[in-house]
Amino acid sequence: MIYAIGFIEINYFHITAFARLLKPIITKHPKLIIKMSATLKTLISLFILGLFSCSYLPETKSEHPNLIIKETAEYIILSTISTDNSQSGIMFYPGGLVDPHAYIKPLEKFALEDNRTVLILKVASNLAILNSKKASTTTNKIANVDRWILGGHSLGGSTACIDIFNNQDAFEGLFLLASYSTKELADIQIPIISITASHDNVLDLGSLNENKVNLPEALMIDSPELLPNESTIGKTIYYNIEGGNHGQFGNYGAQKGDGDATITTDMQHLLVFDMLRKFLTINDL
Amino acid sequence: MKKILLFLFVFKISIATLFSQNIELNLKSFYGVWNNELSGYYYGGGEIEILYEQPLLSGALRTGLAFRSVDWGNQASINIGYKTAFIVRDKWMLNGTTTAGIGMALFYKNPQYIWSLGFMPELTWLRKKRMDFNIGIGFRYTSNPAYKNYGAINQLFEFPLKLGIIYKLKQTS
Repeated sequence: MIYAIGFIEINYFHITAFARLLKPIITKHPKLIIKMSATLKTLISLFILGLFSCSYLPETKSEHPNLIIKETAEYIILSTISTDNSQSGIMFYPGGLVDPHAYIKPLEKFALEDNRTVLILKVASNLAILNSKKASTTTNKIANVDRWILGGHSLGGSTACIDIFNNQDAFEGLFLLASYSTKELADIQIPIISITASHDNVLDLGSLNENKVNLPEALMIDSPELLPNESTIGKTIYYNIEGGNHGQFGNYGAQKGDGDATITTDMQHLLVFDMLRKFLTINDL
Repeated sequence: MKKILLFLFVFKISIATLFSQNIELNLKSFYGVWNNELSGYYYGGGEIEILYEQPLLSGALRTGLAFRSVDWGNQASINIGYKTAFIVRDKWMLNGTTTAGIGMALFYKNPQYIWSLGFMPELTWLRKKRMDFNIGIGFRYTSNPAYKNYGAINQLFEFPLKLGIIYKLKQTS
C-alpha cells in the first residue's frame, strides 16, 4: 500500500513537471514529438496486449493431506502413495488464460480416489495453443507411466485435439471439457468423450455443433449409467451437465461472459469425475 | 527519507527519459537454470521490451516497459537500467546494462507485484546510421512473492538472450 501511494505521488509530480516541460519541447522539437508518438503507440499496444492477457487464478487451494503435488517449470503432477501406474495417467491442457493450478481441485479425485497419475501441463502465457505439442513430448518424460489419456478444457481441449491429430499413437483416449475439435479425428481409433454444461455461455454452440463432424459418430447420454458396457472406440460420447457452466470445469470462480450455474462447483467436478471414471473403466484404460 | 530518495531517483530518470536520445526495441528469450522448486534447464518464455535511453557523461540511463511470458503466465513491468561501455571500437561496442524491474503479474481480480534484477553484457554493431543492432546474454532473477499462495514456483533465475534494435532519435557521432 505504501509503495502504491508513493508510486501515485511520484506520478502526480511527474505529470505536472512533464506538463510544464511539454510546451517548449513541442515548439522547439516537433519531429521529436512525432517520433515519440510512434513509441507511445507501441507502448499503448503493449498495454492493450497486457489487458487481454490476464489469467484467472484458482479460487481455493487444494489441501488434501494425501495428495502429493510435484511441480516443475513444465507441469504439475498429482499423485498419492497409492498411485497405481498400471492404470493410464491423465494429461491435461488448461483452458485459455487460466492458471494451471486452477485444475488441481477438479482433477485431484483421479489421483485420490482412482489412484492415477494426473499431469497438468503448464503452457506459455497460459495459452495452450502456443504449445500444441507439449503433451505428446511430455509422455516419455514421466518414466513410470506407460499409457496416457489426454484431455483439456475449452482452448485446452481444442489444443489436445491438435496434439492427438499430429501424434495419433501418443494417447489412448481423449476427453474434452466444453470444447471441440477443429482437426479431422473422425476415424481415430481411441475412445473419446465430450462433456459440456447447460449454462455455459462461453462455449460457442454453433462451432461445437459444426465441428462434431471432426469426431467419430455421436452418442448422447444423460448419466454415467447409460454408458455402454463395452469399448466406445468409434463413437464420441456426449454428456451435458445440467446446471453447470464453463468456469466450473475449473476452479477459478466466475468467468466473464459465462452463465450462472445452478449447481455448485464441487457438484460439477463430481459429475465430471463420475462420468470420466466410468468412461475410463469401460474402455479398460 | 527513503521515499524522498526514491522520488528523486525516479524523477531524475523520468526527466532524462523525456530527453532520451535512443529508443530501443528488444526481444528476449529466457533460459531458466534454477527456480525455487528445483535446478535444471527449462525454457522460461519470451519478452518484448521498449525503452528510452538517455546518454550521460558516463554511460546511459534507460527506462521502459516490458511484456513477458513467464512461469506464472504473463507479466508487465517497468524496467530501469544503467548502461556502461566496456570497450568501444569504430564499428562495435561492448557494454553492460544493470536493470531493475517492477511490475505486475497479469491476473484478473488479483494482479501480483513482481520484481526483477539482472545484468546483461551486450555487443552493439555501430553502423553510423540511424539504427544500430545489438545482441546480449545475461542473467536475471525474478520474483513474484504472492504467487506462492497458488503455486510452488515463484522465484526464477534465468539467462536471457536478447536481440535489440536501437533507433537514434538524434544522430550522434
